[in-house]
Amino acid sequence: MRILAVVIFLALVVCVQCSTSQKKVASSEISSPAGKSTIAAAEPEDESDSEPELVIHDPYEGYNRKIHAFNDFFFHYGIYPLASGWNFITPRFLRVGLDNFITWAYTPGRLINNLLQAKLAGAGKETLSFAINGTMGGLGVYNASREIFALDQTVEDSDQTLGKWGIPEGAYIVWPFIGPRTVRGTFGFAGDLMLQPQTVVVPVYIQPENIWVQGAIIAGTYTVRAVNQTSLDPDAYDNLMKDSIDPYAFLRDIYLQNTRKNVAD
Amino acid sequence: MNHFSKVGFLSFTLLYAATTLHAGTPQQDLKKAVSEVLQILDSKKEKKAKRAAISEIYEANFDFEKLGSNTLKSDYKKLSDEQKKAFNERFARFVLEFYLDKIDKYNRNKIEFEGDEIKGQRATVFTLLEYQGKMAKVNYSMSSKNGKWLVYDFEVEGVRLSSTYRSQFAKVLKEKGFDGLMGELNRLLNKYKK
Repeated sequence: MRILAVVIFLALVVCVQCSTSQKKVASSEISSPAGKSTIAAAEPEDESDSEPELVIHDPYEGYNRKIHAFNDFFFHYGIYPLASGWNFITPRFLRVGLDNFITWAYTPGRLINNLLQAKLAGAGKETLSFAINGTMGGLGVYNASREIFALDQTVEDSDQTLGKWGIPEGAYIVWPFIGPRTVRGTFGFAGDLMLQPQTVVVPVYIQPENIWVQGAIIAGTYTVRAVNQTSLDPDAYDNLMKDSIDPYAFLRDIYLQNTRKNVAD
Repeated sequence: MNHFSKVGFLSFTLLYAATTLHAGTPQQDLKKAVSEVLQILDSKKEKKAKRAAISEIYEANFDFEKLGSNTLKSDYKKLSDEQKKAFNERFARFVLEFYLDKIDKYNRNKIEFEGDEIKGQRATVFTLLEYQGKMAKVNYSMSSKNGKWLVYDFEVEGVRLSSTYRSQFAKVLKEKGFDGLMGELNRLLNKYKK
């Protein structure tokens, strides 16, 4: 019987130690003076509102919803049939190659935005993958940097740079053909267009006097890219939207969360 | 019973107690659940059996109450206990269908576990999921319940499950009330049956 008592006692000791050691971790966190953990400690342990509500600034919702409906229509009756046709007549490797080429040609924009945000590692990645894909990858058609060296291109754009500089995103706006942006994102989008090679290459080598011709070339490349990207997975948009109750709010909340994360990164 | 068998039996119970009481880290618990799911997907079971097995793992590793309260936030407190229960059950079903639908497409993709961050009873586990040749950030929010870490929310490239449904649900609740919300959830669930 004595052994039994000893064993039970030991078991109790172990149990108590187990639970106190866990509590110790928790309490040491609470007592630490660092700002972050004191904020965490200020929250009640079992409150349901663990994450703050998503901040949505959408004063033009009425207008935005109409444009969203138009874009949705334009996608289903314009982009989608084009992309499906393109998908049907072109083998996949050509479409992936075209997308890789465009992504490669847009390196200057991403590189500049990396530098403007003082992201030296990102700038290094862009430079390296530009060199690798430009040579081994045959002008970027084959993404050799990713496939062989596991070196990915970055996703930096002008909107993220503006955000990093502390410029607030402003209201949410849905643009015809272009889709969801914020006010800041609209300026970022314009900046991205200016950093794209066709903006520089077209005036220098082709010299279209007319600004409309230049605009048409930029819009043309934009459309080609959109159709080609859609052709890689034509049903991606519908697959995403099928999980929504209110497609407009769904897309808006996804867009806002994703851009905020990209800015914070 | 002699002394030795008594000691043996008791030390076994002691060891057992110690292991069950000693909780794993959030990452360990999540990794275990994910690898169980992947094992089922790799097995040669029928589709229906796979579904049932995955849904069992899902139920054991998800905190549906927290999933529901975290999604409805301030509106959750206004619901009656029965409504809470009904909503949690429906929404959990939807998340399962959502997950099964996606995992069908992406289950062969690489998953990397990147560590966890514990804050009291809550934790975040950071993972990377290969998607179209790139690694997407998928973070799981977990909370500790009876020594086990349960998932109650997740985030894909900054997009949170709860935040993405929060304003849609709030709008339906405001315009059509609780029954309207349940109707919308059923409508979503029906899409998966096709």
